[in-house]
Amino acid sequence: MLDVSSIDSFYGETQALFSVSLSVRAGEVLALLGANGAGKTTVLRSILGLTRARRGDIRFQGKSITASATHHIACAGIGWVPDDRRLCPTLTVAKNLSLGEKRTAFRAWSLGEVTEIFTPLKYLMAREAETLSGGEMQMVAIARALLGSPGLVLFDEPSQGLAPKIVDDVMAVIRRLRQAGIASIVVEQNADVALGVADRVVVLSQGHVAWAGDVAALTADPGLKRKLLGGLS
Amino acid sequence: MSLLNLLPHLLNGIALGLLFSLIALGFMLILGLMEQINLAHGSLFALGAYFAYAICGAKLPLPPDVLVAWAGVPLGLRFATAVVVAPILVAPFGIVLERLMRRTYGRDPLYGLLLTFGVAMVLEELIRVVWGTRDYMMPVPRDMSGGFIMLDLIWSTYRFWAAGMAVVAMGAVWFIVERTRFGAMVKAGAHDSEIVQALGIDLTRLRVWVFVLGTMLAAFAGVIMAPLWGIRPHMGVDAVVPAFLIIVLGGVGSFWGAALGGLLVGMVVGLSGAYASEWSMLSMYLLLIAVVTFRARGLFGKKSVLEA
Ligand SMILES: Nc1ncnc2c1ncn2[C@@H]1O[C@H](COP(=O)(O)OP(=O)(O)OP(=O)(O)O)[C@@H](O)[C@H]1O
Ligand SMILES: [Mg+2]
Repeated sequence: MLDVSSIDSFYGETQALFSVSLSVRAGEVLALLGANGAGKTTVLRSILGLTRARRGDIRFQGKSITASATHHIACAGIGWVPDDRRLCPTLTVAKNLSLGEKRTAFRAWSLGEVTEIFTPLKYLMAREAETLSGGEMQMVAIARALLGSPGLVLFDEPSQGLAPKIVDDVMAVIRRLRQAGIASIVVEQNADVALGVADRVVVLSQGHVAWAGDVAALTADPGLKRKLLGGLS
Repeated sequence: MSLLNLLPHLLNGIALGLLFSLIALGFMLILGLMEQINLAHGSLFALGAYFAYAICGAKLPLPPDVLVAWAGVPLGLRFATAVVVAPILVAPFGIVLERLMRRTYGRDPLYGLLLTFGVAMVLEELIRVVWGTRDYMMPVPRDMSGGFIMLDLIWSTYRFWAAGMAVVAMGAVWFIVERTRFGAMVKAGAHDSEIVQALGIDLTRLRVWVFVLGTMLAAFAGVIMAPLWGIRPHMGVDAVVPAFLIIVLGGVGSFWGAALGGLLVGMVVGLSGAYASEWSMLSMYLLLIAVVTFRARGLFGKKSVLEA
């Protein structure tokens, strides 16, 4: 579904990604792990065309999106749940959600279905986004991505700043999307949380891919896990 | 002069203020989404007035027999046509200006200021080339002009019409900004241009539409203002100053801030005009200097353009 091959990305003249490759198959959850500053967010930004990959190729559903405009990439079916949620603070929840609504080649989600998953949203519709708690904002951000009918959702540190109970809820949603056939990339600092939902793992280190493989291979080898993820789990 | 005598000037102030608010709202939408100050906004206002004059006065580049026929149409209908058509004719100028401004997006606002200052100069000179340097009076339909006596005071009929048309336009802007998905896109885009694109919204197209809306609002205000101010090449500058002032006072991104700021500036211009008409424009510039010097935070304590 998504194939990232040997991309190099830069901020100005500073190179953040060095020949990064990864792929996500339809309906699969990929955990993208790594320390602070490893380049995880940059991978997501490069896929979305927000930080352009200067070299290499990114293909989604067989078509190259390396040079596509960001809104075309979104309309192709890639959703984004950014690490700081990025809701419009002065708009209501309902308006924030409506901004995300669009049709793609993938399964469409109605507002009714989405509020079935995130029941508290029903009572928050008229609230301005800036008055929400962190967990509520995260719900809106995920719901907004779903309403855009994605085939692949990019989650950037979905557990960041949330209470453990809410982290569980968020992970349950990612599992549920997986059941519905939606693929995800889950970027996490908290490796164990991500490994709990993922099928495969890519570990980044200083802008390079340090390891890639199945979750089972990583969890079966505590030594390897410690070496790769040392302080992260 | 008794306080009651000030009432007609107050009405004048309200009409001016609402028109200023319309100019300011377009200016503000553009500033919000493009993060550039459009100094040519006043020139779009002036173009609206000149185009309205050309339509109303049947001074259009059309075949003579068509013009004769058009001149025979009742003035009321010609005026109504000008109100609707002049903003549409000015819209392409806004589209071209947006095209020119694209290179300034995401850059230091100085680039936008210099570019739009240049465009304002070009448009003003273009007006001088096409229409000359003289002043024109906008013909107003009989039913809308003249005055009447109420409460022993003389009221100008057209100022009521101007205030009424401005209120209708303000209502339309409020609806677009506060109640439509387009309005939500503009607000979200002004806050965070990356996320709106990542949600699948074509920011380039959105910017063009915002420019078209802002341009048409300025041109509409120009049409309505023409009978009050007269039509002269320099009128654009007289319109962009209150717009800037209103945004400093009311804060960027606030509909009601722009409405209140507009009324305040309109009142200052209208009431100072009551004492000495030559002072009314000067008072506006003095208010701008006072506000920038003493209250750059604006009236509502929001971050103002001066601090952005
Ligand atoms: N806007 C930017 N301008 C310049 N350098 C940046 C920018 N954003 C990130 N970087 C640099 O790029 C590198 C990768 O950053 P990135 O945000 O992708 O890391 P990350 O793995 O997401 O880290 P975190 O866990 O802190 O979110 C870092 O060295 C960072 O300092
Ligand atoms: Mg990050």
